Amino acid sequence: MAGPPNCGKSTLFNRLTGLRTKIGNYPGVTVEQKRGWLKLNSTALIELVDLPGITSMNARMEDEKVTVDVLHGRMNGMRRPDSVLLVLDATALDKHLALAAPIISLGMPVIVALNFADELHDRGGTVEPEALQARLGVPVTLISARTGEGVSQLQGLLEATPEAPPQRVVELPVLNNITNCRRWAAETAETASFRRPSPPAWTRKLDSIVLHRIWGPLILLAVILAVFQLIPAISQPAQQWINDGVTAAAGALSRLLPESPARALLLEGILSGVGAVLAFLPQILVLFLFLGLLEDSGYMPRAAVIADRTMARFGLQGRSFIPLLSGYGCAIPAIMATRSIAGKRDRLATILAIPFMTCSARLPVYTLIISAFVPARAGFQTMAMIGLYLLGMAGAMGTALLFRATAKKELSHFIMEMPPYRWPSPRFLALQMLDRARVFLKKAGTIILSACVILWLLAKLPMHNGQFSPIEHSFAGMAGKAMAPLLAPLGLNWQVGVGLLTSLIARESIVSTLGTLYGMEGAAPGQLQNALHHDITTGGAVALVIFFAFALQCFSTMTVTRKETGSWKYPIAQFFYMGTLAYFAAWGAKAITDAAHL
Amino acid sequence: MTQHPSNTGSALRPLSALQTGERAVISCLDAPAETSDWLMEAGFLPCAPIEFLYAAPGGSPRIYIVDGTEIAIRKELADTIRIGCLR
Repeated sequence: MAGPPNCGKSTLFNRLTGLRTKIGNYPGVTVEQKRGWLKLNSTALIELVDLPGITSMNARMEDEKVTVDVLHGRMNGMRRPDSVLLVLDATALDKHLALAAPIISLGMPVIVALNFADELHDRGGTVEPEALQARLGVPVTLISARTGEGVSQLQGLLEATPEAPPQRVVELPVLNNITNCRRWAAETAETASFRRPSPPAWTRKLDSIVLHRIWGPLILLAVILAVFQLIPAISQPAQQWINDGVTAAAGALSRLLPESPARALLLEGILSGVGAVLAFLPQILVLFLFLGLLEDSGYMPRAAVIADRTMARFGLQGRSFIPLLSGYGCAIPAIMATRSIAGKRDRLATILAIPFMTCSARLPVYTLIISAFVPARAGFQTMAMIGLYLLGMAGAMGTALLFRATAKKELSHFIMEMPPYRWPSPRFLALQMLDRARVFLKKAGTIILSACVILWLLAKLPMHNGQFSPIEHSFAGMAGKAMAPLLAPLGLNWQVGVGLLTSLIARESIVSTLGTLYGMEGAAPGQLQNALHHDITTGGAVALVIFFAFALQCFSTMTVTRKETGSWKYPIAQFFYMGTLAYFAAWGAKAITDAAHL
Repeated sequence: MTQHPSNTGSALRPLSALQTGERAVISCLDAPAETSDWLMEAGFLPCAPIEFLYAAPGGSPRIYIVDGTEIAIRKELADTIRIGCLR
């Protein structure tokens, strides 16, 4: 399935394939591959591949190159398509037909679907698909993917044996020249009695408020605040519910199974790993519900326009805004949200910047250290927390700037179409959310679960006489002690070293690890703070929070980055970049703190 | 309809000079070939009517109606598009 962006291709794809989809990656690129299946009356199974939108066969962005390569049969691991379903926006037919010319000239069988039939009629436009069919020599059908109008005819066309289009529909001089192509498109549209519909009145009216100098940014602010209040409000209870479920399952299993190392592995290692993976789902689902609402209603491009100037100062563009902000909750869904950013360089810069945003998993660490080391008077503790939030944002923006300065120059321009405002389709939203959840579970969940189990084992092995070691004598403990010389310049001890290892899976784990190591299990709150206060200097405490502000202490982030960038090289490079930055920033912060005799 | 200087190459106004709600016709594109191709495919074709709709706070990006579609481009890009009078 090919077509221009904003032509409703994905809505049609979902209507045709429903849940029968599979999402993967094209080899070697950051572009997602979306495949689906439909089975019609005959026994034949049709595989539909939803290709990224293109405006012509001149590909500039990475996604466009993928589409062009697939259509030419040049994509590794995919044979040339048997036929092309070209989806065009019926309301802009005189413009979009310019894409029909090169696609039909490829020589493969083509079916043309003119989408948004409902909007065409509502706004007084007309077209005669039969006349267009006669002119182009390929089947043409008028549909509305949203209402379902005409889709059964389209399915009939898909089922029929594809015929190659007639040769020479369009001459070469037309194909190679943009102006001539556009003129051909307008003339061809006229032969099909195309009359352009009147402009979308409601869209213009709404835009006068949404893009207003004062109201525009205020509305954007309100939308963002609403989204970031609602996401935790909905996802946190769901997460609690999942955690309770896992605890209940663990309880039930522990009553069924005799106590043994294997049982501990199952319950504490595997089951809590499963719980850790599932705990991400509510945030992912809710964020993508809101992103879907913003995108499908047509508001997202407007938000990108308002945010673009601020983003451009840091080498990013408007569409990076919402994914970056989402990083304040959790980097995992935020990185998944960067799919909507068109340019590879912009997308990568955003993916690399997001983990610096102060995610909610850092908060327990910050709270522990701030309450232990920062005096509670005069709002110092609040200021410290705000300072850390700002530090995260500075890290994100600095990284984006650094990336812009060093990355390969890619021709990139901000040219963004504002589609008409539309009512989002609940079914489409639900399918999108489900897709994201399935992709996360399959591509990231399995890796995260394995890492959880391995880390749990490292904190329990080696075994002595069939018993697990206490953590300080385990491999993790040994590693922590081995790290002590490296941590000493930061004013930190081996216990913190073990905590840093366990927090690779979840940042907040360091709190419970330190609790265990200091013998605080079940102790009153405040006792761990006291213990730390005795064992670590203020300089060390500052070093620890600075380290957490900058280090990539999150294997889950790395797995999602791998999925979105298509390779482990980015997350691994990011891990070392952030780790080095964190180490030296922590060291510098400690030096300043000590010098100031705090 | 406001008066404009004669339509000789260098005296053509840039698109960014268009006022809100003002209409004009695209004369030519001054940007390098690759960028111009990109703009033309988006709809910014010579002889196409164009209207300036809104500017984001700060003046960039700017939204134009061209070829029946609302498209946002940054001011630097709008500077490279030359416009003439709507006859």
